[in-house]
Amino acid sequence: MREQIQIAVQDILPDPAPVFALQGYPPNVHPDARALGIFKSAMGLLLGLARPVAVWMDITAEEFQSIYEGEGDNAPATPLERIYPQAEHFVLFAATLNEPVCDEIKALFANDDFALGAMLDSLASVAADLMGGRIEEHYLRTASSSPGPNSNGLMRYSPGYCGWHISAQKALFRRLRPEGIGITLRESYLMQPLKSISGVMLCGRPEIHRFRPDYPFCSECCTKSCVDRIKKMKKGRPPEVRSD
Amino acid sequence: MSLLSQISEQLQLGLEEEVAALTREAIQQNMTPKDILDNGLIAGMNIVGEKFRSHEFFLPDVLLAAKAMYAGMNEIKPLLIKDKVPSMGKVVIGTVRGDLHDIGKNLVGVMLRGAGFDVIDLGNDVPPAKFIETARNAGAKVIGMSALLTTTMPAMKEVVALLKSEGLTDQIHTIVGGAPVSQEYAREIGASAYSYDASNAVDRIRALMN
Repeated sequence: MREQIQIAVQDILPDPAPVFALQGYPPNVHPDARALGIFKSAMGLLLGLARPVAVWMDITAEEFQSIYEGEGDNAPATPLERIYPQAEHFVLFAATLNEPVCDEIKALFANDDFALGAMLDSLASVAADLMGGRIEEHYLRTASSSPGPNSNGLMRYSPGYCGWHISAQKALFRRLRPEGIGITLRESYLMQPLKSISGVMLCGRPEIHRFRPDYPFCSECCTKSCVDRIKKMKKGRPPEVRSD
Repeated sequence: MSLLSQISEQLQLGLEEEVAALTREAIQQNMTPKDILDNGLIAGMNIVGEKFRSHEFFLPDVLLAAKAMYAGMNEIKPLLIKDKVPSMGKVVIGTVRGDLHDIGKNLVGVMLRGAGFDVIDLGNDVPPAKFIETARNAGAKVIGMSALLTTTMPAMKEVVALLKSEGLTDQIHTIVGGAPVSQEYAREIGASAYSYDASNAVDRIRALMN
């Protein structure tokens, strides 16, 4: 199955905390009224400009293996090479906020409105990430009526992270064809518009996603988001699906 | 409080209209543009930089101050040109070939201009030769390169190697930065310096200029 979905902007509006974290605020520092005002203005721009759209498709384990191998540049050992053979369902996805948001960030900088431009950039980065959650929810709702995935353990992985080389984007794009929703891939494997995401959702038992973050590339990782993601995935407890 | 101190204070608060008005007043009082720049605008931005380093200020504060700095600069720019006041130095910046991420590079540009440097921003996806050609033609002493991806980082190495092959490393320094870039990587490719954020880049470039 392959499906294109429109995502409501209201469903990907970020909380202030992760946005201010991207702006360099430590967790214990509360932004002042002026910074919160800029956040609010950036939120207004995002609401007016973002046109979030996504595409996803089921693929087979064999198809994913070829996408995972990509151009043959993956790290010698990766968590994903141990996880994916245990997965039951493989779903490629891509989503974008679309070009007007990126154009606005450029325009704000060109007009010396640096603070608002930088805030919109951070806001859009977090919103782009949130699109992944909305795709998961949509997939779980859709798949629940079909011979369904093991929804207890669904997790997203993307080329460019955790030893999965970014050049795998090429194979992913060949199969998924997200050009239809306005995402193109540059020679450097970067997606355009910049505020886009892509990857694979792997469904299976929750425990297949657990790994110890002690691979050589883990020491260079700035986010360590895998630790939180693994923690959230409690055995036997399905991820929360929004009802709205 | 002196007029120049007022300019510095209003700039720190990010009040662009006030900074522009005070700068005009300073010009009317026959203060030299260099005095206004050094002891009003740049002095204010230096305090903003210190407050940023001590976590008293955060990115929005710095960027609002930079906008106020630009407002003041716009008032004195014609006079600076007329008086042939030299800038702190010329810097060529850009995001390396293949990379479209420019937010970090833009912040470096904003901060450098705020510190009184003359910045030539080549944008993103800049070919290695373009950095060198621009720096050589403009007489820039520093090339600043940014990359957000491990796949585009090698372009930094190409620029440094190209500078070396053209015998320009004594005249043009290089500074690198971006999420995957580290001090070790800068050393490995032979870059003159590494910076971890926009404010730090200003300090490093100031040191390279000297």
